[in-house]
Amino acid sequence: MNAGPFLLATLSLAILGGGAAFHPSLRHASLPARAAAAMGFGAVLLTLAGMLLTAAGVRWSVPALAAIPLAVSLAAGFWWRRRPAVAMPPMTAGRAARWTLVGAGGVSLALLGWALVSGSATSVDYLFFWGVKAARFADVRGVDVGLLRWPFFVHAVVDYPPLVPIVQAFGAIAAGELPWRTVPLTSLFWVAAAAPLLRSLLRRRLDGDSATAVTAFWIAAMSASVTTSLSGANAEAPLLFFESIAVAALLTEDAASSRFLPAWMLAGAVLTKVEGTVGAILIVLGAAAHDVLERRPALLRRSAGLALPPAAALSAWFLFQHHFGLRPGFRGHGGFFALHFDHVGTVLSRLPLALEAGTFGLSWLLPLVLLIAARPTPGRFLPAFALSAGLLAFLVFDYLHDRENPAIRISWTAPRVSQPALSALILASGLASFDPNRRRRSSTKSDTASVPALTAAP
Amino acid sequence: MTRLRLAWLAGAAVLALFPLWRFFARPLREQLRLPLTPVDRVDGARARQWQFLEESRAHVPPKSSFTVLAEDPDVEMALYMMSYGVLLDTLPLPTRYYGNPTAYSGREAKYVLAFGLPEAPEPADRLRLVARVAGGAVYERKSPR
Repeated sequence: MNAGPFLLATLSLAILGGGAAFHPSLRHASLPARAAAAMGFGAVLLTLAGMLLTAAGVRWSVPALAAIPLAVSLAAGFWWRRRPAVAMPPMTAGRAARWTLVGAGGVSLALLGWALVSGSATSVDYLFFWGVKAARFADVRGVDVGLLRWPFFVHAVVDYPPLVPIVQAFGAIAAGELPWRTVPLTSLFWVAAAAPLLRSLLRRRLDGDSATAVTAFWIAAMSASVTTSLSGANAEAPLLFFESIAVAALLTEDAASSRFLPAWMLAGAVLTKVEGTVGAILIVLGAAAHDVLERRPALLRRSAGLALPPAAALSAWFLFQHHFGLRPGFRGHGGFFALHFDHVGTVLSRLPLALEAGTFGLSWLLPLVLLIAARPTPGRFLPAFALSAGLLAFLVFDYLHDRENPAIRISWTAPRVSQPALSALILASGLASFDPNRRRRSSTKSDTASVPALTAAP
Repeated sequence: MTRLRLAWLAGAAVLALFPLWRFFARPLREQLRLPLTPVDRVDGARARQWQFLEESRAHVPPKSSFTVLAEDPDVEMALYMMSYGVLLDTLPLPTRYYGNPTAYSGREAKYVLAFGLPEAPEPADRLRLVARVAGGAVYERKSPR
């Protein structure tokens, strides 16, 4: 039975990235929230370690792969522990909110878990390339560069960044082989892990009941979407985790907040999927535009602090490709401006249909209606709006590159790729609709200026 | 409780009903059956092809090369892609790649995994039947090119 060791190895990402739990911006968060942040940090460190070992010619093993993340994590954890922690509001919620979170959230996650285990929520992409890469990497104890160079392996999108195959290969090495039917369950981990961290971040701006209500909605919406878009075992769930946490952290920060968490989550996003790079660029631009509008101090330093970790992570992958004679960068769908405008009608009519998210579109509609009703100041929500609108615009742009009718590709990919856009919409709408300032917007002061700063704990 | 909070909480509860409805839309016995492959309930054809490869695995020795043959080029391509994951420590060589015949690769393979073909894909003096498995057969080439 190799399912147990595989799942334990995947969960141990939270230990590999444990240092993140001691970062001043997270130390006063709940234990599950800190563990979730550590899991994301651990996945990023493990991916970098996997590439480094292969580049150095060292065969992968569980101790070898774990050593680098653990060393970095321990050093960072000790360093961060000495710095004063930032206060976080206590996580309290009334009975109705708590029971909805436990009931609706619990049922949603349980059914997502069952769908993943029962072979109802996984696409064949897992059998065609995601799982294939993980199994082969584990088998050769490293990134199988020879295979990535083999001309008859290009179907496996060899330019895709390596986080998911490396994380799954780590579990496969611990288990002895890749447990194909168990691996999809890891998608549940990413969705479930995001919930407590999102709730903690939302709580920085909302009261406990409201933060809990938005989190419950997010869990139910994303669980239904991950199931019906067949996102099991592929890169969608980790990408959703990384981008959602980054957006929530940026939406709830103040001018002095550390950007450690969103920056490292964006590093995770770019190492997970090509769309992660698109998302990271949109989020960074949205955050920078917000800083400019708010006239926040240290604009360049803070923007660089947000952009540097994802840029460094992406550079590491491109350098790795270059080092091994692979073509660095990502493969596009034809020339950048080689657009087929005869597909505009198909794209604009099929894309909205593909956004039903397993709920006949209700997951999109309710937050959208509440957001419009809240009439928020757009500036504060730019990181979320940039991701939501920008990602959908990018999808239109991408589908217009298809020479053939893109209808089938839209129905196949849009439900999955649009998930971070839905997540960002829910988070922005939740924060905007419960915004205590929106009823006294006659004031010329900005939203964030009237929210108490997140100060260091005594 | 404010009406707004109620809207979010009720929304969450309503959204949770969709997967619940889908779960109970099928007979419980069918829902609780454990799958044989990760795509049993979403793509039965690929699930059968995956099982064919899993059953073939025992008949292809480590370090050897093989090719996959099927009548439909799309099926052949799918089998080729999946074979990398099922038959580790072997070298899959495509006879057709996305439907296009490859120059020599497939013909150089030592083993032939024939899926859904009514008879042996090459004359008997060139192929030896190793095993019949669900969905097809495994052959060994007597003298691969």
